[in-house]
Amino acid sequence: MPENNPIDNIFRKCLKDIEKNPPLTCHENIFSALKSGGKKKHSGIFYWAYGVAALLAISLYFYNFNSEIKIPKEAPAFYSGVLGNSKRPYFTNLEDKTALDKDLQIVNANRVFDQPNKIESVEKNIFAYGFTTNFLNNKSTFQDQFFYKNNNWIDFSKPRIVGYPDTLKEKIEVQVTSNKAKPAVTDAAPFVFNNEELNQDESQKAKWLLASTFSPDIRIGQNSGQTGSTIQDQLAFSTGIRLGYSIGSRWTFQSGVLYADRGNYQILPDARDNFSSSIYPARSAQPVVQRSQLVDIPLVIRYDLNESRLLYYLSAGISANIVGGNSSFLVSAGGEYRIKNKFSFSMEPTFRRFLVNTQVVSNSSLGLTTGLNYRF
Amino acid sequence: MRFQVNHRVSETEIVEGCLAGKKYYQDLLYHKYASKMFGVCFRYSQDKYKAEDILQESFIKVFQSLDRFRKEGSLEGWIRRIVVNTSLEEHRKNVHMYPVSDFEEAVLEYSEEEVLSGIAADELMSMLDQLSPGYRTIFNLYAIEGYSHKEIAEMLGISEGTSKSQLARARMLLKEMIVLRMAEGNEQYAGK
Repeated sequence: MPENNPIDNIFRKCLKDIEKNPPLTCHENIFSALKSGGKKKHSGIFYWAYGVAALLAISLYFYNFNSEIKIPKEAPAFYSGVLGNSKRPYFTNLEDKTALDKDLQIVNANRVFDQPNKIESVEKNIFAYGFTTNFLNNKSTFQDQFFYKNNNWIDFSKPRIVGYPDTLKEKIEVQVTSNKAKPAVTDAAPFVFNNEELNQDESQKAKWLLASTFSPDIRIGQNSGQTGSTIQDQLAFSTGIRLGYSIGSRWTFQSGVLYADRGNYQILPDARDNFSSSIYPARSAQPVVQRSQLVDIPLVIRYDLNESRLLYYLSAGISANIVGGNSSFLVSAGGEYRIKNKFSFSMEPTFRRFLVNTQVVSNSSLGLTTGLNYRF
Repeated sequence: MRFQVNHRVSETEIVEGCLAGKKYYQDLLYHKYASKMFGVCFRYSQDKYKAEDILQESFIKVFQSLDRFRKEGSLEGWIRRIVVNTSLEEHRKNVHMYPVSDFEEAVLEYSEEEVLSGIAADELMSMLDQLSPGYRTIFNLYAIEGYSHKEIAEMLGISEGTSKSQLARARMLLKEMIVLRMAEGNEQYAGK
């Protein structure tokens, strides 16, 4: 028998039979769980938590794939940090690397630009390799996202700039600490180097694009069928090959050959077609099936809105039909995701407007062009 | 619309109705005991959502194992045991308890009546919430549910000594909170 303790008594008297109304969802969850064999439903917070976790996972997935992390196998010659008011990089001593590997660890790194609005013109891939710094301070206007590799390498491939009112062209600050829990040596400046190979890669950016595409199409808007007939659209599609050539860093001119099955529709006869008399014999009530199979040559100009692994673009152009003669103009906005170095997958909703009115079906269609692309 | 609990329906009728799969009796059982059991869940869990989960899980167990209710004790007591056990299952997953080495007996300088008239139930609940899960569970089981240290030790898979020392520590912490709260109350009273 439990002892008679005043603290116990106070809480027992007050809380043993305390009542709290559970939310209505508990009742619903219990009985729906019993119906489905007794599996408990989690309360709302878990759904939120799952949702947030899923979003986070997706974001991280895309972040990682968009990071464009490239670690050189060997440390190339590197330039020293552009510090203070110096605009000219200078070489530093490669032998310091050994000391870093053994004793020091990078713990923080900042990158600052003087022209944040022109961030896209800055090299995307710059690796910083810091060994020591006395430049550590809190004056930086932003802290870059950075990535550790072997505790030494930092990738600055995704700079986020807040702004920097200075006149410096660029500045990288690297903070290091000693693994031996001693303050890092502070007599040398942090440094940065440009990876020449990466620069070269940038200059030798693939100019050509070869893509195989497929697009289901649906007609939109009112069919303008003749009086007394009913039009039933059936599936239309186009498929083929596109070849593109980059003009500058963002513009691409594309052309190719597409097989298009567009006019696969039925014209159903009106009830009046079944009228017959002694004078007029009954006409056939069979639906008229019309089908147009065409060969299109698209001429499209595309503009890339960003430069990353997942890029968005706008494109417009015309599609010349070399068989039926009914050409169309095209407008689309799409996204392209780089799967591997040279391969990418694209998806673009496309609006098409035929130039010649057919008087039978709508002149507009909406398609979803999917493509597998190869750059070279 | 709020469910009206018909208090004239006996426990036996409720149980038999539930066993016959009648929705009315299931609703009746739930609404008769849900508030009390949610209070129990709250005592064992600091987290409202966790408490909801424990309540749901407990009632699912209640409905699924109602045929094992032997009618030897009260239905409420049987449901309460399921709720407590479900709370403890959650507790076992997350809490590891060790004996507290130096503890002394908490002596309260206020009488029970003084405390009960000066501190509201919600405040006492909030004090209980401030205890770590280990202390709170032992205190709940011993002081409020009335289990012995031996039973608690078996339920939680700990030694009786651990149960005793955790209880003493819990009491000490609660005493400090009560004294602080009473002093604040007296100051306010004197200030007026």
